[in-house]
Amino acid sequence: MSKESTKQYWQSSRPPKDGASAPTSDEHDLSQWMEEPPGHVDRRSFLKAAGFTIAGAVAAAGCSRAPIRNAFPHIIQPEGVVAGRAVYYASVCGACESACGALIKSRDGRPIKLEGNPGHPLSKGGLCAKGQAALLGLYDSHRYAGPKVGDAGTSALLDATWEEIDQSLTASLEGLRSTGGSVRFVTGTVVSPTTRAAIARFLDTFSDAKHITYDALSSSAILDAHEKTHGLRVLPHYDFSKAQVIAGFDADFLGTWIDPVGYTAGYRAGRVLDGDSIYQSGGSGHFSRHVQFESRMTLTGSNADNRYRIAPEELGLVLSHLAARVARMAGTGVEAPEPPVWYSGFEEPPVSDVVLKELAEELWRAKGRSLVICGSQDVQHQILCNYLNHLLENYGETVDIERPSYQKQGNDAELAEFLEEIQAGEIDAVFVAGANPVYDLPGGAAMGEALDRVGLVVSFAERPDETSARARNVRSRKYVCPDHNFLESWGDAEAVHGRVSLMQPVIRPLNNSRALIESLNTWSGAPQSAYDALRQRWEREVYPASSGSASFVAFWDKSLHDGYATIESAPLPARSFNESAVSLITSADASDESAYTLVLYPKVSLGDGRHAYNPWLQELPDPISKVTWDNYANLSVAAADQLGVVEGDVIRIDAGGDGDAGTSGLVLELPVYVQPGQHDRVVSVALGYGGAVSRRFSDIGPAWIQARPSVGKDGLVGANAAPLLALEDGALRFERSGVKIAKTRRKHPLACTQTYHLITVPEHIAPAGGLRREIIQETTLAAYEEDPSSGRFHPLVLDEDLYPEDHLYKGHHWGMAVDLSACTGCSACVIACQAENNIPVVGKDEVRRRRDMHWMRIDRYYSGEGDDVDVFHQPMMCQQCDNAPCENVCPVLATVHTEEGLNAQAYNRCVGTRYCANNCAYKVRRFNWFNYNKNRDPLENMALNPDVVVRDRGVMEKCSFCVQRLQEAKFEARRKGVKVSDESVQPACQQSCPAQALVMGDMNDPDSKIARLLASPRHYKVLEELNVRPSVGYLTLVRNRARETGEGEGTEHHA
Amino acid sequence: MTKEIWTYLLLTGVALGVLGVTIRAQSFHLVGNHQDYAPTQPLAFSHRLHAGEMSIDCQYCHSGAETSRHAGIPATSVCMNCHKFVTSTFGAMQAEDRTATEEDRPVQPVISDELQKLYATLGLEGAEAIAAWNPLEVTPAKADSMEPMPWVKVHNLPDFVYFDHRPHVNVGLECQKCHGNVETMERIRQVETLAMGWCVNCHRKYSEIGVNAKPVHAPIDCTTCHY
Repeated sequence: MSKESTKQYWQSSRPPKDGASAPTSDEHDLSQWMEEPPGHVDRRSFLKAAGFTIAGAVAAAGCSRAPIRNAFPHIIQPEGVVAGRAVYYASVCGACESACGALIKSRDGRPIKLEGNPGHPLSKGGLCAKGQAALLGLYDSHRYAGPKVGDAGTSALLDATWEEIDQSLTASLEGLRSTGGSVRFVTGTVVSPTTRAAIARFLDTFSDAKHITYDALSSSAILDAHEKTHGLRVLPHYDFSKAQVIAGFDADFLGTWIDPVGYTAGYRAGRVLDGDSIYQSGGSGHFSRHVQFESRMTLTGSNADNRYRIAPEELGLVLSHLAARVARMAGTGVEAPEPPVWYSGFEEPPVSDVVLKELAEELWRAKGRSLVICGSQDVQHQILCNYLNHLLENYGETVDIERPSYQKQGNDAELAEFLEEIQAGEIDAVFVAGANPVYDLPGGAAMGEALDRVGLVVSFAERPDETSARARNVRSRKYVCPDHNFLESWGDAEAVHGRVSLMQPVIRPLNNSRALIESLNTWSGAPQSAYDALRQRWEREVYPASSGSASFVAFWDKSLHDGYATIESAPLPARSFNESAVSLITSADASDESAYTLVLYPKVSLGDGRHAYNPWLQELPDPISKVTWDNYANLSVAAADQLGVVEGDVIRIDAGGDGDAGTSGLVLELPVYVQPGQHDRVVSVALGYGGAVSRRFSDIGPAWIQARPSVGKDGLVGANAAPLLALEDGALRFERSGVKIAKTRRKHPLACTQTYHLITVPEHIAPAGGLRREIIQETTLAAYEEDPSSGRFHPLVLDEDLYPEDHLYKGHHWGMAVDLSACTGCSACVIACQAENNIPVVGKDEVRRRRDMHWMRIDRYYSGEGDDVDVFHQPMMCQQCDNAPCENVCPVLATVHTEEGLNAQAYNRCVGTRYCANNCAYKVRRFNWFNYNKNRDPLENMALNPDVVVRDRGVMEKCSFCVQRLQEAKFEARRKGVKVSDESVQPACQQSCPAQALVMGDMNDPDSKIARLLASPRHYKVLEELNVRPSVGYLTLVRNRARETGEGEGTEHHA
Repeated sequence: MTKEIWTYLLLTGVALGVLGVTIRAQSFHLVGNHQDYAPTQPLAFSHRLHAGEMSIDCQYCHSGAETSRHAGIPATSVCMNCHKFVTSTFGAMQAEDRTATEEDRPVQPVISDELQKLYATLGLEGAEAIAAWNPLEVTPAKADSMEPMPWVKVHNLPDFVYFDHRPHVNVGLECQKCHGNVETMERIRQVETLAMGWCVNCHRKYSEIGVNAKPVHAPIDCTTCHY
């Protein structure tokens, strides 16, 4: 069956007029600012000059001597190290508290890439964009080179030695111990039990000491709610793979919420289609249904089967309606009124009552196999969420509080208490590790001033940030004791109760830093190295809970090799649900009709902002908006129309209040981004921007006459929205109602990648009947079950060829399949590709000039009406066409077909005509307009993959299917005399995909996964009608929703 | 008049240029071709002695050739496997033996000047230190103070070429096919051009005739070497 639906797909914020798919905003018409630079050299005189120069160079080169290149051998041959051979070390990713398992690829002693550890019990082989980009955190020349002392009275931090620090700090600490001074140790979530123990031991030496844990992206309301409902302050571990029905409420669990990689792996395992057994994680045998209620368009919402827009104030009401319905079905009845419920004192829900009725029934039918997830920071909302999970008997099944998660340990009530104490001047010493409170807390500036008054401030920051490098005339004695990067550290992690992982150093510390544990142990009076402390704790506490290892040494070695250990630790005691904690919310907070609700959110790329130093992440297009290098104010299409603003118009967001001392108050001025699918009364702004670490990007990108900086006027990338957070009722709140929006006359152009590289056809050049292209092919689960090929479009392919069939593919024939049902759009693959293939960062200005260099992009399409849109993510990389249009037009044979079906790109042969890029149907070729690689931090060169050429100016480049990995796999297979396996030919994008959406392999091998996927009825090729015969195929997107009218029914062939 | 002078000057220049090129024709190479390059090494290591006379297998020292892209240069500790005991040439040691017998005294250890350069990289001075050397006693802190031997690389490829020793060694090609008769060289010399045409011709040839009577497939796609 084929279809020709009338559904439209588009990529800009608004549907195109009359079906054309060109960008509509004038903002993207670049011709307007591409005038000739003043005083330019014209083409003729340039060529003349160039001719002379080249002739001179050739004449000089004739008598060149070979350059002296030294080769330095090892002095002592290290065991297992062979020059030029990559070694993989299992460790823990330290980019956030999710503590995913990572394999660190090390070449000749340098870590060059982070990959997922396929055996890890939580992350299951995935690693997110942030985790992979964290490699640049190691090779960051802005890190503290060594310990520093800030003397009272001076503003500068002075270099010091560790001995000096230890000496003077020990004296200060002795003073505190004898006077009983109050000590506060402020950290983010510490996922390492060994570090937690070291902190506790250190604090035990004081009479008044407290460990304050807070998360900039707090989930403390979940813990607080469980304290109320179960008497245990824990964060449950959610098992998405078991869940058949998932109801998500403002929780972006696939993108940014708590543990996106682990959740994505579980979510993927719970959405299995027939014949889908090729995936490593196996599967649950079911295809879950996911309904999402949210105020802004999240990555999770974009993947949901059904998605409903609700304002943050309406969340409690919706949860209550649902809870009332489920309670009625469960027969327990905490106010279980007759439906329709609003007759008995309930306000009408913002979504159709039918939706809630059906969802309640679905959840109830999947009792014990369903999951309600809520991302709100309102404890009442979380209690309702717990109540729903309790009624649905999900505790012990999909929601585990006996083996809880330790990925968020923040306690916002204690944080609030601490902030009061410090403002009142009651604290004598503050230690800050793994946190940047001056930047990421509301009232951070006031906090900074209060910190200046504290007698002793010790920071363990890796690089200068707002908290550690406050250049003020401080009265306190200040120390900066930089901790190692996680790639230089020994450590461990217990992300979920009983799931322990080991972290090992893969390089000797680049700077004169010292492990946090070592510093603390020294100051506790019991100096011990981090390694000894770790090993000792594991021998004492972890090893006894393990089984199957003959000795501790064997257990240790195995755990170190695997990166994790399997242990049987006793679960926490079971608790019963306290129903008296539940109270239903019967009305939405009445908000001022003219005001908006501000929602602050983390982006997939930057999170809470601790990675804002990272150029890869700054340039990673947001999975939904596709904007790079900025944060912005998202408004729905309707809201933008109502306000009369378009993308790039700067608006003033006024949250009222008396504001933060020293800043401009609770006011933000940001450019608008029109985001379909957002609630009409909501304006959302990303956190993590505007940090001091982004100052370094002031001169990123090529230096030329028309270059524009990537940073704003204040020298920062984006604006910090954290001052607009609210710390209310003992919880850090991410929404703030009653916000006023005013227009300004300024414009701030955004660098959005989804307005170019389009593979749709602009209306004015479309041939007759060729305007519509079935790039996204989708269906519903019901239609799929009737006919697995439903949703497929079978174009008329004219396959007569001018060229002889001379590609025989007698050996391997590489191909790839992308499962659109599995892909969440999380963009881990984009960074994986960037790290593997030495892809440069170009800067905001160049992105705006359509010159981003990512070999792999994820195309995002919308379909639907106005703000009720479906979102589609389609990874797009070189399709390695068998009839490649690029090959035919290259005048110098720089891009040619290989016998294994790759479109080879020989950089050293390319002369840069760019004909190939023009002729590419998929717009996947990238041209080096400048020597972008020249512009990086020299230390970053250490992260370059030595197996891939660093391309120069004037050269075309593109995805090579990671041919260097293919070569490696073939050579190794031949050396060992085995067949090239599916596992060994994984390109970088596939390796780290948390959803295992990408599969590459040898299409000639009937046993390969790719061969099985090729035979799938869901398999299709994008732009098949062009007969370019791509080697990359896609599997139709299946959504588990009621069949839409007309869908799957079409019978007409598209001709 | 000036025009004529210029013409003569130009002609003379051309003539001198042609003469110069003709003289140098034997050693004239295209840009990037370093055939016959034989730089002086920091230590007069003789492949003729080790690979030729002593018949030590190439991969005893260049052990990466089978498992890695690079054949590798041996670590000093590998040299010390033998040179902990062999501290000089056989001739010098024999001479010392003779003299000692003649003079009726115990044999003195002999350390050759060249090998002293090797020991210097390990910070070893004198026969006793050499005899007592133990690689396990070299801590990272000690190793930091040592300077590795700055060998001069002879076989250089441009940065855009990825050559891998593994497939060539594993298929059974002799090292001499590309490196020449190393076992006869006092100082290593680049025998072949290492130009792309030379690579491709060989790949074509062996794809036809096979290596050691085994059929091989040596691809000539761009991606074989360029990526």
